[in-house]
Amino acid sequence: MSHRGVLPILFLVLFSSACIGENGEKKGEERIVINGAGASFPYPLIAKWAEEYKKVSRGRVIVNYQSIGSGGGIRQMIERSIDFGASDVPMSPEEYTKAKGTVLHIPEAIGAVVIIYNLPGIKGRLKLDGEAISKIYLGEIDRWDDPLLKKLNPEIDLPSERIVVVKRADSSGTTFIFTDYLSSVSERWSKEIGRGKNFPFTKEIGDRGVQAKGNEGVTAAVKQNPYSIGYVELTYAIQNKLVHALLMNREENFVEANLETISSAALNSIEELPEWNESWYGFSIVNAPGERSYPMSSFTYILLYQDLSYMPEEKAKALVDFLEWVLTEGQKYCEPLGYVPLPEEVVKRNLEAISKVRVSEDEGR
Amino acid sequence: MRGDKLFLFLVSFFALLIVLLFVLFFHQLLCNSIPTWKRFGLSFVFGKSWNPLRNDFGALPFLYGTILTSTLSLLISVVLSLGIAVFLSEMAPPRLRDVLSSLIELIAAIPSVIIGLWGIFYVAPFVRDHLQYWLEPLSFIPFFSGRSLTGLSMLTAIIILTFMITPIISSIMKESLMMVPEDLKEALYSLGARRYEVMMKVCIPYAKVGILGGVILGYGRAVGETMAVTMVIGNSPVISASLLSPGYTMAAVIANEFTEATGDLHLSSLIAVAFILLVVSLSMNLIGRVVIWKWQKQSL
Repeated sequence: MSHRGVLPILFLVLFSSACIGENGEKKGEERIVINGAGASFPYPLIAKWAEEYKKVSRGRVIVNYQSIGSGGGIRQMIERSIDFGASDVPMSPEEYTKAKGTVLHIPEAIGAVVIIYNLPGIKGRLKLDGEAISKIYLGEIDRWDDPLLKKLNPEIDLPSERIVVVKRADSSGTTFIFTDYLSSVSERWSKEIGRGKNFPFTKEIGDRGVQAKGNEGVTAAVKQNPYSIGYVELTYAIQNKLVHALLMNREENFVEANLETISSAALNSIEELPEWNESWYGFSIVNAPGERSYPMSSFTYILLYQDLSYMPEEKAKALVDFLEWVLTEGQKYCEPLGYVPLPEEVVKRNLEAISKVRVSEDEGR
Repeated sequence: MRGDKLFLFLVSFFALLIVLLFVLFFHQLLCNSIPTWKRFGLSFVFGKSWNPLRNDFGALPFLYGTILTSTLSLLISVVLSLGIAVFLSEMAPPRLRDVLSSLIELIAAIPSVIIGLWGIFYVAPFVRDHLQYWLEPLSFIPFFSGRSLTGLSMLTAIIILTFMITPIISSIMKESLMMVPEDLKEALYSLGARRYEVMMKVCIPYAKVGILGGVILGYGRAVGETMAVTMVIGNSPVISASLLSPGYTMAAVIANEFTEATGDLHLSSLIAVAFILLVVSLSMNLIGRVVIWKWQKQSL
């Protein structure tokens, strides 16, 4: 008796849900779903944009963003299985050739990496320069009272303790910015280690080295271990109220990472911005010129194909509209979330690049 | 009759799915790691350096870390679990047994991230500030030589893993010890045997298949554990005899590097590491199975 009753009920459920689905779609206008994936760094920002844009478009455009990492984002861009990607690092020439067409790099916000440390009992703010950081991470400097560190910090009584050196264990855009900076200021770093999303410790670091997963892992390792040093994203440091070091920039001023110093770095690199249809590989704003420029910062990019005629025209148009909104109206959501909004000049360049996007087959552009 | 045939077809289809899934696993992992095997050959397994920036890959540090941490934690855990299981099944008053058993199952259900956090904030500082000084008299043994500056070390990972697998192993051991028929035990008691003798001569031999099953399950978890281990092991691809130095495991390196791996060789090397991990855990499982089969044959 009982199992005879199951089948009709099952049918009823399936049938009724099909009806609801159809009605729901017909009621509103056609919904457009845009799928993006990539870097985890801009995830909170893109999620906020998606939420706000849903309101702006009156529920017509839904943006889904999955933070699967820059690597995954680029891979899926190459496969064209997503509509836009996001990456903290421009695509490499190898990836660029694999892509099915010209890929535009649209900087959507600026991020920075800061040096955090744990020096018990010391009040003053630590000052560092590129040479000191590279020597610490190469293992050449192994104690806090090294003459070089003392020279940079005459007002701090640095202890004679061994430095515990913390780095990210997982590959990350944060590490790329960090190594990019060190490669541009230290010859030994650029020769022996280079730039990348992950790097190995040298032999000289030995047992002083700790590798921890994620910004949160690095923070925990630094908090737990006296006399340690590490690097994390600025947004993470702000959220967790971590004291971070002042860095010496190209003009030999000590600067703190904040809105002003980071956008100064971006502004002063504008002349080096690649053209919209060029490869962006190798472009960076680390160690930028400018009195007040913070030296360890980077754009984070949205990636999309210049030729969007492979997707329905409606969707391509919606994607372009969304990006234009992100670059203009949407920029006001950067700051409350700890991201640095783009300088106007960069926005102008971006809008120009987006105007080159081909949204349909029969467009002459 | 026709219903029976249909049923037979259905269930054998599901059973075949398992086999198919298994073959697909192997196939996928092997196919996607071909660039690595072509470039390095078998020396990938024995290569000591791992540097994505120079496209130089070798899996030995991870293999070493995985086998060392899982085997040592298994050894400690088996001794602990056997004690727990014997106490619970034979000596504990029923009420205490119920309370303790459910407590053990509760521990087994703790998500590994939480155990990892406990590892970072409590166990690692404990190793750094206390345990390594207590172990100092043993420092002539290579295992305990050196000192950990941070407490993030293979020893910490072993402690965490032991904590994670003991509940599983001990509850399975307890269940199989409780299956030992009362008459067997009573027969031996009536001959004047002591508790210890009954345990060693009757209970454990009778329950050995179940006990080994628990050990295999625990080993599987120890080999594959990712999150908690990567949080406390220090993640350094080095091979050091000292348990106080940091290490790295296969599962941890895959979890750490996969999402951001864009280079073809890097990606395929990570998949090759996954393949080695699969082979290691399968062969351990297989050894266990073979021993169980032999024992079952003996008892027939």
